[in-house]
Amino acid sequence: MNGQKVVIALLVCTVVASGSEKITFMSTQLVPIAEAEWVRSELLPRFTKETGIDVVFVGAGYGEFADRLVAEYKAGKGTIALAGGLHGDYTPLVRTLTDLSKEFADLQALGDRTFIPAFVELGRLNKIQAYIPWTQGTYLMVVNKMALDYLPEGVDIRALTYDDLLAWAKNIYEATGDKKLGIPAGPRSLLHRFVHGYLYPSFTGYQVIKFDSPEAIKMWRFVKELWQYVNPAVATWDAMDTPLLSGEVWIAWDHGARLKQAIIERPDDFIAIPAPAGPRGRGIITVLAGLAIPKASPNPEAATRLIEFLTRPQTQVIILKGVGFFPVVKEAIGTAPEGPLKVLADGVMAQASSKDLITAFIPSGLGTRSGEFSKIYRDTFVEIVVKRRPIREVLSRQGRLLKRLFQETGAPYPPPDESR
Amino acid sequence: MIERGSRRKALIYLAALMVALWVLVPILLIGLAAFSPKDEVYRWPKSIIPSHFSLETMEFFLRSYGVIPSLLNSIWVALLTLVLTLIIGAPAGYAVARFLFRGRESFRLGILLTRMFPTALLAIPLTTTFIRWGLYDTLFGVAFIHTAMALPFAVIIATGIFIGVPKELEEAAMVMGCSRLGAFMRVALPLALPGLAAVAMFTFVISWNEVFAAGILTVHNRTLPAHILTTLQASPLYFRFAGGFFMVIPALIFMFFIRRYLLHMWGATAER
Repeated sequence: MNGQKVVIALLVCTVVASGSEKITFMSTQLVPIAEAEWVRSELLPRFTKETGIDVVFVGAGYGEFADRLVAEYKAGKGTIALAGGLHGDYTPLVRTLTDLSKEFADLQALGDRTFIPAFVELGRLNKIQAYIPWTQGTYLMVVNKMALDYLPEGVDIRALTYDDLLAWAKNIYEATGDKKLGIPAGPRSLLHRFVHGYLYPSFTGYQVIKFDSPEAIKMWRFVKELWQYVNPAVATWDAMDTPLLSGEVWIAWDHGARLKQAIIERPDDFIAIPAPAGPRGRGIITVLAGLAIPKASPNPEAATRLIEFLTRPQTQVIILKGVGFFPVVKEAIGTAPEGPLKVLADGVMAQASSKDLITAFIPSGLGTRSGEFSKIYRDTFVEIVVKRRPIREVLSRQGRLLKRLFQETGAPYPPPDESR
Repeated sequence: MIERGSRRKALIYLAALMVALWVLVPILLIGLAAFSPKDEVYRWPKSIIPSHFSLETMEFFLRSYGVIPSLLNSIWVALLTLVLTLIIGAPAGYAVARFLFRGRESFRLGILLTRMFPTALLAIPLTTTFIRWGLYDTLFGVAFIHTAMALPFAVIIATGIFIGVPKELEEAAMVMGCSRLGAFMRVALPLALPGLAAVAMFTFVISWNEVFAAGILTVHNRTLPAHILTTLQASPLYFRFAGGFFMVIPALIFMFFIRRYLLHMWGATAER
């Protein structure tokens, strides 16, 4: 009985302790334990000091995030004041979100921050400003310095091509007998992003338009060849930081956030470099995270103030330096973090300033069916590379599915396709 | 004859050993990794025994936001679930075991029906309803769901147990002046206690491991799995080991205490 009383007392304490205003900020970003601790102990206290508003930061997986927003919206009564998620997290949830057009105009009027226009546009879903840009991320490569000894002659590591990558991985294999190239292909990996946002734009110039084209056939032949030098254990890896640290992989492609830990643990052993270029250019994806206020938000005013704080140029720099999430306001872009995160930031900057860049975005407007888009590219990869089915046949079948998906949803083709 | 007997015995021991290793080796490996220095967790090929023990990871994990409160929440929810399940499940099992009533068979089937709906499907309506009823983000709310999940098993196991308690004993008690309830409380229940301990164990584990409902029904008052699962999935390897090990321990302690009741039951069956 005593134990129960203690528990109740503890619970009551946590609720009552702060008599002041208190809001909940739920996010699918910054969830890993060390990052969440940083948010709670370094980032949010600054806001509390300034405004007197306490913020409870709750990390959530995507499924939980979505279910909760929908449930609170349906009940008309919520606990989440502010939501933080990826562009793709929000697309199926637009009806549960407040239109932030007015709030956005107010932020603009402050005059101290210039949001990247493409990001603001991306945040407009179903004719409302569903979210306000918060941070951006990208996918790139991290390389163990040991691999540099095997780099083919005359290759500029900051302007790598896919052919160079193949030659490099082959060199390593022939010299060491190990397959040291890593592209994550586990069940929760982001392999589909590699296919639609990196391979396709680099080889065909487009994500969707040339899905089933002679260039695509050539590309898939190349991928099959490249895959001979990919560590076979990739099928079990969702993120490449662990295999980089264990030395099972020397050259890895993944999302910056999923490579970061390797660099943090051993900053002297790794370098970050831009993703390779294909015949059409250097296809890369920019991922955008945004802040949204649910319709059921118990305290939209406090949430708006938190948005103002989080998108302030100074705060954006603090976030970059603290956890390596990149700014979305022009005033903050260009500052580099110090310490281990500098290694990652250097790679990202080098990639962003490549001359042959083709920036791809994850499609918007597919709504609840955005998962199908990823699945089509993933399935295509599995059928061609793993099951070794005839390329032409797979592409024409999957291409029909892809076409139908865009026809049925009426969604615009994602950049770079629409801009050409 | 003796030789065959001892060979049989040896085989049984061997099987028992295999089962024990099957369960214990992973726990041991997680435990060792949880107390290894950070960089050794990543080393490949992996060494089984760390060069020295390190509390660094575990300490950071335990000190990180919400771990201890959510541990208390988890224990509290598991105990609440346990009490609710026994209060409802034991009499229900007794009724099915002892009485012939109309719809008994459909009742038995109906119990299992609740397991047919995946929680994932119910998540949104459930949460919406809980918000309206004011159960959202409360430990009672989570305990209610866990009770609903554990009840089918509890009723089925309890039925089996009460069938095993001879009806004649209760009749004798009633002849000697006990009421129906008195016979249940004084005779049937004590005899069924070891079996109910198994029910308790089962319920505790169901509640302890459940993450989906606990995750979606709570925001601030999270149970341990709900609190750490998402976090750990996205965290570096060494934190996953620390978290994994930490999750296992309380359940093991609970098993350790309730174990003797179980042995008692199995002992009784063997004698019969």
